[in-house]
Amino acid sequence: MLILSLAGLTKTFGGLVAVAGVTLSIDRGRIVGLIGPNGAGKTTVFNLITGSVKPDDGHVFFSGRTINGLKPHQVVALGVARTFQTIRLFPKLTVLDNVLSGRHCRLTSGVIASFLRLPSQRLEEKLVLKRAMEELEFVGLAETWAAPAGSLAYGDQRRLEIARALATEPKLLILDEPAGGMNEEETAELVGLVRRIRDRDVTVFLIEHDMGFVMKVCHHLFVMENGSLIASGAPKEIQSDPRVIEAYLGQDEIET
Amino acid sequence: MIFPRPRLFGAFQVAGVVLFLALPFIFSGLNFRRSPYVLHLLTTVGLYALLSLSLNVILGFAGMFHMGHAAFFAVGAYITANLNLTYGWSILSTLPVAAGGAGLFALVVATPVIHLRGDYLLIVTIGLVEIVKIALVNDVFGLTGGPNGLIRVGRPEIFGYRITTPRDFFYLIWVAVAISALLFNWLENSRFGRALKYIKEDAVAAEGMGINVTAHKLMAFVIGAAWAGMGGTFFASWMRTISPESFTFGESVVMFTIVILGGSGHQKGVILGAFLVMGLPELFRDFQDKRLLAYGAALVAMMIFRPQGLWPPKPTQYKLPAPFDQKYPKKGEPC
Amino acid sequence: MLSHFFEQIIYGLTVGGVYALIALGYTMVYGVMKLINFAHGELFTLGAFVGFFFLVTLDLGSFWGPVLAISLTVVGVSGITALAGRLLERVAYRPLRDSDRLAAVVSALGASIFLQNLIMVVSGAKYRAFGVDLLPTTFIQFAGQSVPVARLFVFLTAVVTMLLLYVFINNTRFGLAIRAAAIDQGAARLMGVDVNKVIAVVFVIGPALGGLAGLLVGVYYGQINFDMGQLYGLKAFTAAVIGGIGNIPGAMIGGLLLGLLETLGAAYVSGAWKDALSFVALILILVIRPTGILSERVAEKL
Repeated sequence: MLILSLAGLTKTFGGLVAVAGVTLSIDRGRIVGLIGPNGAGKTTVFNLITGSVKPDDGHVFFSGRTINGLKPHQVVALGVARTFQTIRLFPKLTVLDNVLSGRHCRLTSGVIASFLRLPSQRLEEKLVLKRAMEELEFVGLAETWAAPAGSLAYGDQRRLEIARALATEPKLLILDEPAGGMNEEETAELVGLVRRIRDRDVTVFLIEHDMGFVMKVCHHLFVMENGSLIASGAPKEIQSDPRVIEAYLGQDEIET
Repeated sequence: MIFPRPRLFGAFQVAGVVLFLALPFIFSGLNFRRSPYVLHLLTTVGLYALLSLSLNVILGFAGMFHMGHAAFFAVGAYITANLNLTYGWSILSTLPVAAGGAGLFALVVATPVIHLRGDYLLIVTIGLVEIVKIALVNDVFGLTGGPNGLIRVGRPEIFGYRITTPRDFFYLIWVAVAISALLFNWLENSRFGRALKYIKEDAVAAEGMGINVTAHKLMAFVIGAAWAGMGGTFFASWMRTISPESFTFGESVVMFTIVILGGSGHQKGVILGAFLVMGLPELFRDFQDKRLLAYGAALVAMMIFRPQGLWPPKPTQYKLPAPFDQKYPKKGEPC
Repeated sequence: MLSHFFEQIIYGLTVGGVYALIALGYTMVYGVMKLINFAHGELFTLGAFVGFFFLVTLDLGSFWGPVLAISLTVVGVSGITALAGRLLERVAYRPLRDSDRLAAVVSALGASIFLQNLIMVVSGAKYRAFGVDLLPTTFIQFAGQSVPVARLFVFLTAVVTMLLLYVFINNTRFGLAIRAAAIDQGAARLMGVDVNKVIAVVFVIGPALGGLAGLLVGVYYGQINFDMGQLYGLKAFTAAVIGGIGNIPGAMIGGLLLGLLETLGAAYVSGAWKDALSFVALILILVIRPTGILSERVAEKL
């Protein structure tokens, strides 16, 4: 069953074509990678899916409906959550507060209930703390709940971003370079974490430059170059695809 | 148990509040000659605390640089004065209309500009307060009495008790301050208040986490404006005369300074700010005309040396539900 | 009827020229530092008061004759406001260059409030009248209409000053450095531009132009007040936004446009709402076409 399809997605920035007619589909329950040299337009594809950039042309279908044109917060509410290439936590707020931000769209208390601290609101607050702590346990950061997010180590901040995204109860989780800045040990742990996320019936779509990680964790890969999709297939096929190798020549080597 | 449950007041603070509320009686017990003056001053502090608490929702919680708060204050005051003078409404019955009117006005003027970046929003809100002042001077819709304003606004009555003396107003205003501080404290520690905090920290990340940034910003504006409108009701019935010069850019600057200086985002900090900004200069009467001079210098110095304000908010204190409270005790706390 | 209209146009251009001069200060500082210098309106006021000091308090004119007196005043006004601008940058803005953008905005606002009240404390809250007609009260004939020489003088002074600035920015090495720093401070620094020096110069030229505008307003209207800079400042800022903030020709065009809009609005719509008109224009511009003539994003960055 398809969870996400992109059809002819196109975006130009002031004459520069960032994404040129990208068409792809992702099956539910899989871990899918999007790779390609720097400046290939991968992050723009993610921004187009999550609604933070509007496409010039083409469509984004998620769970059977068109979601392009929706605002980012509406896309999140439908079940697409993301992390950012450059970490975008709320650094001054606590770790727990950060995870609570992800719960926002699943809570219902309005302004009046908050103002008057109605019983329904108090109950909801109690449950939300429980749920947020569960997400922190899931990524292994529960101990740090009271610390400011900005004080965490880099790799921990990446995992906190994942916990925050998971707190939105996504069906599709979009990770933009989740292993960026992580050491080998942390990257190895990340493989396990991404698989456990998939086991929660969350489809994972990720951009990553660490080819070892991508080859290990992904079921399927899409390769982009200069805004276009140039290859698609299982990791093994991609590794031996001459077009892909050419695209990477002079760029980073494919590390395996 | 209530979660989260920040502790509102420590023992010293409770003692301080009780002592403060007993002041009128202490004054009369001591036959303090300048009692009416001091009470008037403390009531002024209270009114500004109330207004600044409402501005704090916009500026402190949501981080929107809004310097036109006097405009909403004015809308509330003129609504109350008109309803009271023309239609004979009792003062307190105008309260919801003043709040609603100011809130609606805020919604209308803020909707097109809410997306503007901080410094541009600041300029627009300054423009707003100037436009409102010009409208007041020009007797817009024949409702504002022009440059002379409106006179002989009535006094509030609570359960048949007419509020007239300086002491009455001292209590009226400070009870309003206390209630506002409590409600805003609840609001701050709720889903809505948290959302504003996220928006203040990083609006793009907040939107990316599923928060409707525009709607929340607008709501913060409306709540802050509605509260300032109620401040206008109290002000009109306390002063009995309202005129455009009470609702100038300068008044907006005072509220802005109180919030920034006291500790933006923190109720107690804002109340402290009101005492410092409105109260301190009165202690030095000669200093009176140099007051704004000092505010200006204080703003610059504050941004350089202590941008978070004198008494900034602490991170939200959550009490974890079981079993997490046992598993993950906060550092420094006994298990 | 035509004559009345013509008169309004001339008047609008006169006022607009003053707005444009002030707007240049906003736009140059914004271009290089991405900061709205809220205190700029107060430097304008300072210029008017320094001019008052030279021309009325010291009465230079009766010692040295009008030409020398005016020249000395122009030098004095631009020198002192430039010095004040430098000082402002060092005290209120430089310590905040690396901190939160909004902290700098609050500091700018604080500096504005401080300066305005400093001027009030030093020279009093009352209006000050120059008392004598410093500009000629004669008219000249132009296209069948009589044009007051005083207006023409103000307008031409503004235009000539702006042209000089334009030449400086576009045809000198240092002007190139300013333009480079305005596009990308970091890159300009890497290419060997001394950004500190650029900022220093911007904070000399901008305030000097603002101060000159204050002097012009003082001698043209004949009276000045400590808070005159607030309204002029906001309007000049509006002019800068109309022209596209950060853009130097934009500020000139925006100033003239706003002057015309305001004068014609006051003449044909409502005089009492004249000041509100510019604020409405500002808000409309920000809402409808926030980029003005040249683009600068003013919405929160995505």
